Amino acid sequence: MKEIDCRGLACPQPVITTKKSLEEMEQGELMVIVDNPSARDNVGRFAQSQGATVNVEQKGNDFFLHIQKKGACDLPGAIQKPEKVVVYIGSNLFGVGEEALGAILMRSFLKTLLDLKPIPSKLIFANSGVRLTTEGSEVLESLRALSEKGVEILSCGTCLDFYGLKEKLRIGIISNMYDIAQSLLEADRLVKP
Amino acid sequence: MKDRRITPNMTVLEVIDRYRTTESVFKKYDEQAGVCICCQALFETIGDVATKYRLNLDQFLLDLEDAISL
Repeated sequence: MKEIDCRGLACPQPVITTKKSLEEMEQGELMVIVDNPSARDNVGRFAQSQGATVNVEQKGNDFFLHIQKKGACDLPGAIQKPEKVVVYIGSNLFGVGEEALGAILMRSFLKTLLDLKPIPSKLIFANSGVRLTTEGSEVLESLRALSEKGVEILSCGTCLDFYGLKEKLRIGIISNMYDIAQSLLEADRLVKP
Repeated sequence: MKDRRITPNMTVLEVIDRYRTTESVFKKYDEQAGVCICCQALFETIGDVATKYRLNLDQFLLDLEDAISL
C-alpha cells in the first residue's frame, strides 16, 4: 500500500499530491496522512469524486485516509467528471423556415434550457446568433438567468463587428475564434438547435 | 481580445492543478475573502468564489492570468 504524508502541507497541496498519486495508480489502496480537518475533507471529497472509497481514522491530531481506488471497469459512470455540454447558436432563429416561427422557437428553447439538466457549460453565439445577446433581444432575461446558473455566454467578436453590435452587447463576453474553436473541440457534447 | 486560459467555469482545483503559479494569487485573495479559498472552496468555480466572497471577478481573472504569464 502506498502512503503519502501530507502533514504540514497547506491547502491545496494535500489534494494535488493525492491527485497525482491516484493518477499514477491503476487500482489499489493509498493512505494519505493529513493534520487538519480542511485537508481531511478536501482529500476525502476529491478521492470520492474519482470513484474511490474513503475511510478516515483519527489518531491524535492526525487523520489517516484509507483510499481504495477501484479499477476503471468498476467505476460507475455517474461519478465521472460531469460532461461539458456546449450549445452552439449560429443563428438568431431556431431551425429553418418562417422567420417569425424561428424566433418564437428560439425564445422557447432558451427558456426551456433553464429547467433542464444537464445545464450547459457554455452558450456560444455566432453569426446572426449574436443578435440574441445584444440590445433589443427578446431572450436577454433567459440568458441572464442561465448566466446566473454559471453558464458561460460567449459572443463571436467578428460577428458583433460585422453587424455593428459590439457596443450593444448586453450579456456575456466577447470571444474569438480561438476560444470558440477550442470550446467546440473540448465539448463532450455539442448541441446545435 | 487576449486569449483567456482561465475562465469563470473552472474550479479552483482545476486552475491550480493546471497552473501552479496561480496558487499565490488565491493566497493573496484569502484576506479579502475572509477565508482560505483553497481550504473552503477548492471545488467551486472561480465565478462562484467571486460571487460568494464578493470579489471583483474581472480583476480576479486578470490576476490569475498575470500569474500564468510571469
